[in-house]
Parts: sequence; structure tokens; C-alpha cells
Amino acid sequence: MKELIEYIAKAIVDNPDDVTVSEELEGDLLVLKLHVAPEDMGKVIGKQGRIAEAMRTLLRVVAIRRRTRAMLQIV
Amino acid sequence: MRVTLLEKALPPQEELVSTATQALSQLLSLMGIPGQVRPAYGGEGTTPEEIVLEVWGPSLGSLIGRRGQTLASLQYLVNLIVSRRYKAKTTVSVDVAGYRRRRQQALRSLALRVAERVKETGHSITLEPMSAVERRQVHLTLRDDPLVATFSIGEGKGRKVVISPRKR
Repeated sequence: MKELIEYIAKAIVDNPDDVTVSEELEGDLLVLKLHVAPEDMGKVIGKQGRIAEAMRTLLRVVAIRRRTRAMLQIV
Repeated sequence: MRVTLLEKALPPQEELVSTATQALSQLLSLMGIPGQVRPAYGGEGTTPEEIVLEVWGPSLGSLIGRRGQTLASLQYLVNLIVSRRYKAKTTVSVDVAGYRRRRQQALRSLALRVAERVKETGHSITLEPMSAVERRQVHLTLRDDPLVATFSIGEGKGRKVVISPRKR
């Protein structure tokens, strides 16, 4: 799931080298933390959070297929 | 394909198709969903220049999602990836296992059925909330019917089509 978010983020920001995604397990919840350059924040969030929402939708599909729970934080 | 030029012109269509196909295949593979992506042209209701990517494979239901929500996100992200790369807006449609095509036909027959009911009863009927593309399909289906009028009410995701009798 980390790779999925990394791929999308790197493809849509201006500074792909600054993209990192870390994974932390909180109980049975996988928390993905996406870091991007400050000026790229808007690029991964989108107007009214539309881009972040689309990434979360895909993430949810993968999590359900793997019978787990995942959450995306943009930090 | 409708394009809006921002900074530079779009590359030839073959290149766009291949970049979009790669992006979509990559998304599917990273999602762990086996599926084949192939470009389709000249489907019903499309112009020859319109790029449609079709995904085929086993158990793709989760890729469509409730009311096609996952499919919409997938299409949105593919366009985002491709348009960021070329610094120009792209309109690539993504279809999964013929969902959009079936949904279009279903919408068309729903529109006709409801229109008949509106004519019989003389009362307006409001359909359930739909996306802009789906509402457009309903409007287009009934555009030439002199006995009913269609319009949309509501905001954002709750926007829905009303079919009402037209006074002669």
C-alpha cells in the first residue's frame, strides 16, 4: 500500500524526490504517513481534498481485499 | 478529446494512450489487482479522438465500487498523473468490465421508463443522486421528447435529475 501511495504522489508533485511514505501499525490499523515538500501539499490534497479522497478510496479497496484496515495521513 | 492548453500542447494521441495505459496498469499492479488494460475506440457515444481505457480481468467488482465510486477515483487519478506529466489537461475515460457502457444503457432505459410514467400521471419524478456524466445521459435521452422536460436540483453529490411533464 505504501508503494501505491508513493507512486501516485511522485507522479503528481513538482518535487518527487521529496516524497516519502512511512508505515506504522497501530493495533490492526495500518497508518500511512505521506510527506511531501511544503509547496506540494496542495498537489496531493487537491481542491476540497479531492485528490486525497481519491487516494484514500483506492487504499480502502486494497485494505478490504487484504482484510485489514488502512488510513492515509498527509503530514 | 477535449483539451485545455495550459503550458504546452499535448503529444500525439498514441503517446497519450500509451502513457495513460502505463499509469493505469501501474495503479492496478500496485493495488494487487490482476487486470489487463486495453485502449478502446469508437464505442457508442464517443468521438474517435476520445481515449477510453478498458480494464478486463477476474473479480473487478471492488474496482468499480458503490455507484462506481472507485472507478471514478481511478479515472480521476489516471488523468491527474497523465496531465501533470504533459502539463496539459487530459480527458481519459476508464471503464471496468464494461460497467460504464452497461450503466449508460441502464440510465437510458430508466429515463425512458420514468418519462412514460410522468406522462401517464402528469406528476414530476425525481431520480436518485447521480454524477454529472450520468445526469447528462438522462438529459440527452429525453432531450427530443416534447412531452417532458428535465432539469437538475440539489448541490454537489446530492444533485439529481427531475423529469416533469411539459405543458403544451
